[in-house]
Amino acid sequence: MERRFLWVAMGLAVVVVIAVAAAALLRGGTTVPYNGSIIDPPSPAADFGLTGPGGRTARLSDYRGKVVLLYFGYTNCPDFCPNTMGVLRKVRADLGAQADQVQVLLVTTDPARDTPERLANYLAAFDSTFIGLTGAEADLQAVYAGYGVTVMDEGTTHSTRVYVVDAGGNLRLTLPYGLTAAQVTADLRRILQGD
Amino acid sequence: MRKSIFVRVALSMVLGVLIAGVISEASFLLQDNVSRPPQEVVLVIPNGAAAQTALGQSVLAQELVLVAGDTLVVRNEDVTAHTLGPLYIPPGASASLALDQPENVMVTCSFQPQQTFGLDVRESLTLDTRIQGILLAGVPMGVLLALYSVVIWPLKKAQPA
Repeated sequence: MERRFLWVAMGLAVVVVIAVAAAALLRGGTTVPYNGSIIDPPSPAADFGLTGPGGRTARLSDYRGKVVLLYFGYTNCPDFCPNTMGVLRKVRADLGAQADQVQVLLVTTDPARDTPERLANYLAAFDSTFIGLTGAEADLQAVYAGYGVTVMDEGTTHSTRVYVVDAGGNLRLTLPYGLTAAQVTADLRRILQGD
Repeated sequence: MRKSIFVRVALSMVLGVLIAGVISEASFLLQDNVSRPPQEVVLVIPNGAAAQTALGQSVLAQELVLVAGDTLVVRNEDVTAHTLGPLYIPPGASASLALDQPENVMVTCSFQPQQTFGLDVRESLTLDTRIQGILLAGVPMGVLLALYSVVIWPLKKAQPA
């Protein structure tokens, strides 16, 4: 009699556990959100022209056809910039063959010190494909304004988000500082697949 | 004998859950919590916000109270782009921010004269959570009460007929 009661109780416990697990699965079975902040609807990214490697003018629109990761920072930055560049280096490595479809651009917030050569040397330490851009103060200020970038204290205080511009030149996503390379890679794969 | 054990355990469980319920609900009422499940919260930046901000006028509240798990969707109906913390919101677009952890932070923004906006993210205490808490505290308390009752009022052995 007691043994039968035990079997019934165990059976009920198993049913309860299965029901709870099924409810949890159903509740979590919705679309996985992006890790970054999606911009809805995608908005045309403001085009600009700045001085790139070798003193040549580089425009954002030159990279149409690739997904551009646009960041604003400076080479003497002790924390946010090297950390972000480190994450983006890992992202490109993790993307494998798709890495060729991604271009990282760093626009300086410290044009007084960041010459094209200095930017190139700094970025080469992370990834030889990363491109640094600088320019006249007025030109840079226009670019900052076009992307809502806050730059203070002679460029040493600045916004830390990464802007993701899709192959069609539309702003699709911003990535807050602190995302892991795996999170960024997951978002980029979705954009590269046309999600 | 078996019936008396069952009655004693059942009464102890009910008492335990009642005591846990009273304590839990009293502390819930005393604390400044938000009792709703996580949801999508929309913040609309109205048209003309940038112009009014430039004049030193505030067009929105200076703080938003949310619960952990909320998604803050910021819709920009202004003619210029706006920012809120890590978000960049072009005109006519929206951007979202997932708020996973309880925290009370001030973030930079472009639509307040002070250039800051408060995000007060509180613990989400739904009815489910509160009931779970009451049961988690009440059932062990009931077991302890049952054991304690055995010490205070020992069980009587059934007398042979």
